Amino acid sequence: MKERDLQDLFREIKPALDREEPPMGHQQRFLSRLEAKQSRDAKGVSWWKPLAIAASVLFLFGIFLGSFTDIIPLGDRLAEVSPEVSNTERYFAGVIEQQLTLLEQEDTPEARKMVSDAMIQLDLLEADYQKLRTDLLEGGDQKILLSAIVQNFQMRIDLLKDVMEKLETVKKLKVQENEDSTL
Amino acid sequence: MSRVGEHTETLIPLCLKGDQRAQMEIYNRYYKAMFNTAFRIVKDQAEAEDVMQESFLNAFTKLDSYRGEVTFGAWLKKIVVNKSLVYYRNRKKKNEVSLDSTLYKVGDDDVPEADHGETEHLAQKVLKTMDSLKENYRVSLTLHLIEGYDYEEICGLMGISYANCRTTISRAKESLRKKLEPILS
Repeated sequence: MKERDLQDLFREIKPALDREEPPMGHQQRFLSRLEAKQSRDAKGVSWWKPLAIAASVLFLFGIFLGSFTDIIPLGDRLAEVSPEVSNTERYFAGVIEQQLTLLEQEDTPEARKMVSDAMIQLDLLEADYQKLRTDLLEGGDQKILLSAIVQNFQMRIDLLKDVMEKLETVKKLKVQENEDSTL
Repeated sequence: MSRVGEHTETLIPLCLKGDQRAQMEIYNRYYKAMFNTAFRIVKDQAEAEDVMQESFLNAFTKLDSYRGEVTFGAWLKKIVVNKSLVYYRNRKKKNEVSLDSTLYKVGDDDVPEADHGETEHLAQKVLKTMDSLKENYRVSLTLHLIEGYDYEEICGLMGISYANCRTTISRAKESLRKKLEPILS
């Protein structure tokens, strides 16, 4: 058999070579791998970015409001002092609550310690916030108090973001380890 | 909305953006060829599926590095071949023989080879003869004669020197010729 014959032979059988089929259900398996990968890529940036933007807006709004303290009459309820602040408060409380539920679902041994630490920090921030709120209602310096409230929200968001990112890193490392050990 | 009728060129930017329907459509178009390429090297159904799917995921992540100098299929195939060879080398280190491939080989001899056209019949005989070659002969010939890579590319892919690679392939060809002679005449 000559060199050229071998080439010719393979050219001839080429159309008949791809006769194997992957095991049943391979498309479904691929789709779930695709989905798992996409949710891995998307996680960690999806929820805190809009939240951070909202906090910045509120921060600017606080400064703006602060510069007009003199002309805003003081009421005895937060909604009367500033309906916007009251609305934003409700919004943030809702989002933070929702993120907490997500965080509580991360029930792995590594996560538990981190989550419970975060909870203690959040409780401290909540206590601070309640004090600020009372001060505001009792007619304290609006400019300082509003900026402190905004900072309080911002700190909680940063904290949640930080914890979620750390959990994500731990998870990725574990997946990586598993992949390495199966090789 | 279905992506079935669209050209591969229009699907690629969509895949890059993470459009899942476009990615599945690309998968459906290429999986068979890519699975067979992987299978011819790793010789194990489950491993070939894993290698093939891993290659698709990998390709979607680094799609922005695809410049279109070669066809998309050729670009994708190179990823598949690379990953298959990584698997092949790892297995060689561990010196494992998969149960699947052994069962497959044993069972294959008992299957009557009727119902196939002449080309199919010939292809099966050739593939079976390839399987009886030494592992590195089989792999280098698969890359050379079936996947159509030249010596230089094969050296790079298999991580061996040019001289070594040339010798291996020419010896492999010699061995294949000898084994094919009684079958083809």
